[in-house]
Amino acid sequence: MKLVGADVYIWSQGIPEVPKQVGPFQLLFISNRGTRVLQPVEPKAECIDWWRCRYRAEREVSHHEVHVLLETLSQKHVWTQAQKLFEISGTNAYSEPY
Amino acid sequence: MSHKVVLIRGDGTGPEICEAVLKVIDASGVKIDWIEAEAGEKPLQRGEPIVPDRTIELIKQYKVALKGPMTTPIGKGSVSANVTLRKKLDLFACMRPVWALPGVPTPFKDLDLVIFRENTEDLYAQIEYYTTPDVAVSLKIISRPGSRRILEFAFEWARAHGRKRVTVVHKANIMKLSDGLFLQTAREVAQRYPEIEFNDYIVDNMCMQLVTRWKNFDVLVLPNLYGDIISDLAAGMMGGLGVAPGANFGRDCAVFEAVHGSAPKYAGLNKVNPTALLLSAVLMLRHLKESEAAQRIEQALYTVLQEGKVRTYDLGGTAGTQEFAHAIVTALRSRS
Repeated sequence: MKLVGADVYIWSQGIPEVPKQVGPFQLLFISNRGTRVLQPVEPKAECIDWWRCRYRAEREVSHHEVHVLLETLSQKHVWTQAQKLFEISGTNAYSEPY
Repeated sequence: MSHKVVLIRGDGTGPEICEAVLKVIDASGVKIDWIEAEAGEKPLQRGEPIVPDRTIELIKQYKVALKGPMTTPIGKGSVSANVTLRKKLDLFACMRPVWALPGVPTPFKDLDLVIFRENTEDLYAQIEYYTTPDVAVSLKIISRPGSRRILEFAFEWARAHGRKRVTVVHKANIMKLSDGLFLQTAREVAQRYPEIEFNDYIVDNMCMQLVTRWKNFDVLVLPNLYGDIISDLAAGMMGGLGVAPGANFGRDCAVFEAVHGSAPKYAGLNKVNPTALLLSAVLMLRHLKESEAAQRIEQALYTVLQEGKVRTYDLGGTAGTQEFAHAIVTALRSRS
């Protein structure tokens, strides 16, 4: 299992304004109930107050770097759940949003 | 007045079923400008998304679509075109009416149910992870707003159509928080509809009750996964997926579809029954306020089914898709 990123679930009344880059991680998308709402912004979607922010690195990262990501996001946001993203044998071991 | 409706012919047998249904609608006299759009295998084979953005934009623009069956790739690398349409268009309410069709054999006499399935959350958020090499998890998301809007939709429909009872189906005895939230929201919404009887059943018991005491039920409302399963069970009670219609509603758009698969092994053989898509089109015509034409098509279909001279293979006959459609058109014209 190669650690490559994290999905961070943020509690917010609207699309959270999270940083696009944190250390080695790039924000790939924000989804709501599994449907991508950023980018592009989907203005008509009815969303719930729980947003998945996917941060992905181009290289293998350490568990400490994921902790730094969470600490950084914690400064302005409330995250309620996080899931580390792995690759197994070169394949993403996580699903993609609609 | 001419309506504009997006048409997705679909995969496998989809194009020939659509052709049959379009013939019948045309014979009814309803004027529709069909806006052709693609989804499913063809765009996927070109390296495009299974539902191209253009298709989503067309449906958003014209608000109504009729969709033939599409092939859902199994396994890695792709997503379901049907689920993608529902998610991208936020079609949160799936309606699956089932009733005893004249001339279609079923042991479930006087069957008459309308099933509402929540379409956008639950396990269909499709959020999955391997958390170790030997453990995969899938998130089941049930939200209060997501539950409320499908429940309100179902109760409003029941009220508008004079239905007497709404039954909520769940597994809240085990999933006490997620299904518990759905059930709790249902109880809250039900209080606003005092003229409608409300009750709830655990999903496994519901399966048994449906096939033994189906007349006890009227309108069912279910979270996404249970809705998927129960609506197919109910379609079987009606006579099979070949005759079961479906519709998906959002705040702005509606997509009407056959609920069966694309049956690729029969593609091009002019063999499959177009009734499911035709009845979906009848639902669409009612949505377009063409209720009189919808009624005439329905009656013409019933006439052909009851006469039993022209039947497709699934109903024990030898007629092809187009021959069956032609018989409905003939019945339609003979009544007008």
